[in-house]
Amino acid sequence: MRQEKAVPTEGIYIFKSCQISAEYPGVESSTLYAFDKLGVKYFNDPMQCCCSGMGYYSDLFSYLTVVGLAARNCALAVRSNHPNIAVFCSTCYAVNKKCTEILRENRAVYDRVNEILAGIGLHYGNELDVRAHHFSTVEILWKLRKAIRELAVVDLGGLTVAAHPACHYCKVFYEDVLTDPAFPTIQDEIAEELGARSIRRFQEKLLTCGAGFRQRFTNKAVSLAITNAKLAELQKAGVEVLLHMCPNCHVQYDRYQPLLSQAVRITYTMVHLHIQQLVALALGAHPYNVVGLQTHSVPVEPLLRKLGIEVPKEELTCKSSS
Amino acid sequence: MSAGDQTSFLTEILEDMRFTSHVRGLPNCNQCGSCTSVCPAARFSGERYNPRLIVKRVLEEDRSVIQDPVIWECFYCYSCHMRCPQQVSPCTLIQVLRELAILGRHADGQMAGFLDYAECFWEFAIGSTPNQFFADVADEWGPRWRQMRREMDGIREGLGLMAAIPPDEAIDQCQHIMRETGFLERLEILRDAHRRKQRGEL
Repeated sequence: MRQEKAVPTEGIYIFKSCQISAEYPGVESSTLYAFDKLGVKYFNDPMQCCCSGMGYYSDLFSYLTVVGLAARNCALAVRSNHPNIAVFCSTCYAVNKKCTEILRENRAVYDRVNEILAGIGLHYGNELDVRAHHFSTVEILWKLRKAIRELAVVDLGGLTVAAHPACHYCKVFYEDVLTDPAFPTIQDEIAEELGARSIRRFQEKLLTCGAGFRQRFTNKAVSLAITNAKLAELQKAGVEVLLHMCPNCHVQYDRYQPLLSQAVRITYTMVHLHIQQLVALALGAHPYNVVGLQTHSVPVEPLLRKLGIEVPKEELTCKSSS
Repeated sequence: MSAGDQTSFLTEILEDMRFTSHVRGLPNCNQCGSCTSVCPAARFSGERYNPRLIVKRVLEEDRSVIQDPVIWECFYCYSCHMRCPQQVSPCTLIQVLRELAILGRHADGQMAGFLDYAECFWEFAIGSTPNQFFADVADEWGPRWRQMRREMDGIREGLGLMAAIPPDEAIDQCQHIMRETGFLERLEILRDAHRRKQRGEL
């Protein structure tokens, strides 16, 4: 448990995610909305490229390729004077941290990567004063949770939530997890600050979402059995919102929930939001134009009504109809 | 990594860059089974998948483990990695074993379906759902999702976000890195595996 982990709110380099871009772009806009409201200065660099983690964990890339791509992004962040890389996706988080660990410890890889980067006019620095550091955007919001409460215009009182702690946030670099890695409460604590009741401890809390990278496609029965186990437990517990901090998990629960409801004959009613989206809603963000709820599979409109947030009819008709 | 018989299997594996300082415990595995006890793939497959036994086989120098389809059942969730008292990280080991299987051409059947992801990454420096699985996904995720995918560019624009695909200059830089780190050789294996599958050889 390392509550003392230093989380920066300056020099932030936004690290975009392929899955968020393709599935839930509202997570990105919600985070930037919250950062703007909170006065967090950041640089959103069009030159940043994908971490390649989805491909790596589908066994498509050698690790040298992954390290090379990570080193390039780090070099861009440092060059822009924004060395604090803030990621949306937990796969990006762990992949990048692993790459910097390798670059620190393995001189041969460090030299080879810099030889390659020299070909595109970049350099990866290992020295502490020029090294890039990786954080989750959720960690930044956790640090600023009191300020979020001060700025909130929507009260989440009466809302029951639970959090799915992304495996690649809490299990890969478990010593670097804010709150307790055995029962992470980073999302719970933000939601509680906004008035929600969070079920902090439940039996399946640390169970993976079931996506398993390639397993979602090649081992579907086991994959969906895993996904269903957490949904079944949380449905019984009366959870209304399951909070996420990784798009892979968000896809797995949100996209497959309607299918699983039919398959197991349980009407799953919880909606799935990244914690950044819940924060943006509480701060008054537009449900479609900022939070991007029209890209969700499980309709979020009943939740909006419960929270007293107006559901803009025209957007509902043109963007959220099924 | 070569598959020469001169070097022990364990030594060869431990030379991989992924075995960094906090996951160097593989030789010290005491077969306690903590990994299997927390493994979702073990729990939901009736222990068809058992990370403790995979570690055991590696420690016993059993190179045939890379040809065993069971290594393809790990979810890479790192539960074993977090719980192991000896810093063994079976999850990291599986990543290395799968790579040996791919390079030794024991895994063409596992890789053929993922070619499109790799092709997309080479072309655009960003991943996407492999086309080979797209039809399944589109069916399961339903018409609402299909409509959303069609409208995604407009949705992103409405949210004030920049294009998902990076500019050409960034793609060129990524291709330089991929070329220099052996990605094109890996891509050739994937293409060949895909061709073999199309010919019905897999």
